[in-house]
Amino acid sequence: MPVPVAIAVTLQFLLAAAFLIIPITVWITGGAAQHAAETEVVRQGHPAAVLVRHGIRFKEERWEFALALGIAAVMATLAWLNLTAHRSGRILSWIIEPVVLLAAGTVTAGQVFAARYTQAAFARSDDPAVRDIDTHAVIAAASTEFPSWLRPLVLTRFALTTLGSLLVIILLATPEAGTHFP
Amino acid sequence: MNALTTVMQLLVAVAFLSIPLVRHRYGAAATARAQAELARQGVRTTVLAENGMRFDAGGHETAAPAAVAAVMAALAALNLSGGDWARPLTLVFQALVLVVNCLILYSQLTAATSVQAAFRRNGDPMLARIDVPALLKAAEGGFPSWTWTLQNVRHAVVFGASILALAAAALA
Repeated sequence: MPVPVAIAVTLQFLLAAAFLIIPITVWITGGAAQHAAETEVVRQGHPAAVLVRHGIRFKEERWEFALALGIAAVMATLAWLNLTAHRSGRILSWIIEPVVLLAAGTVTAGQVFAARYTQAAFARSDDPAVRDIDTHAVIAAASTEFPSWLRPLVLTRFALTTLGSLLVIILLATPEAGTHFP
Repeated sequence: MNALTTVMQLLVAVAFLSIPLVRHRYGAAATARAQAELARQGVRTTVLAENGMRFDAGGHETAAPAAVAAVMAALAALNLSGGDWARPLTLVFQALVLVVNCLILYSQLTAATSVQAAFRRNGDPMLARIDVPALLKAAEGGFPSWTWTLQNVRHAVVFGASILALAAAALA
């Protein structure tokens, strides 16, 4: 197998793995993180509901969980098609990778910059008391409930989604990759 | 196959340019009507500018579609000259155009609710009181009646031509 295809397949399998491990971890620990964040908000003298009211959640909705697993399945399928030199693998990769880059890139960026995002959500609030919430303490409280390797993995997934997708598109277009596909 | 793809991509480019051209020609009239409607509702007419609401071709309302049109025109040229990169780039950018157009369609269909939500988030009770559907209807009145037809033709061309170009590149 040509080296560019091998790298592209590896990147796709890694992204699939990230989209499998992160949602399952958050599914298991998200409830405790949400509870910790709410406790911190209450400790700062605000009702626990301010988080939900400003769209800040550490727990995943069922559809978000299903969507993430769906992306994992699609990426694993693409990797498998490319690995087995199926003609459709390269074509589908060129169609799906840019969509993943934009759509999943936007969503995962929200997680990478969670602290800034939360700060902005509170700063925009029409309730002046909410604007004074110590966001870093809220995020820190939630983070203690997540495993310590989750944060590096979230950053890795963001890199795989953006730079990784771009790389896969380019690698599959190289002349060497062309010899791999019928 | 390349000729078909080239024509489809030029069609998409023209479709993306059509709306900014219409906004450039009639946008000022639409803005004037919207401001008149705000005055009728007893709201200061500057809220449009304050909230970044515009009906003319200014700012990203021209830059974004012009950028898409430029990419489509470049792809069309690439397909015509038959370079190695024509096929992958056609698949990549046609897929993106399809997704972007879905977002455009969604934002057009939900314009009233999203403007209402933006006004409410602002916290100014005067803005929360605005009758948004009436405001948008007034602005619409500034555009000629065929704009609605053009809008639908534009969507049909973008979706249809993008799918055809994708299919041609995938089966090539």
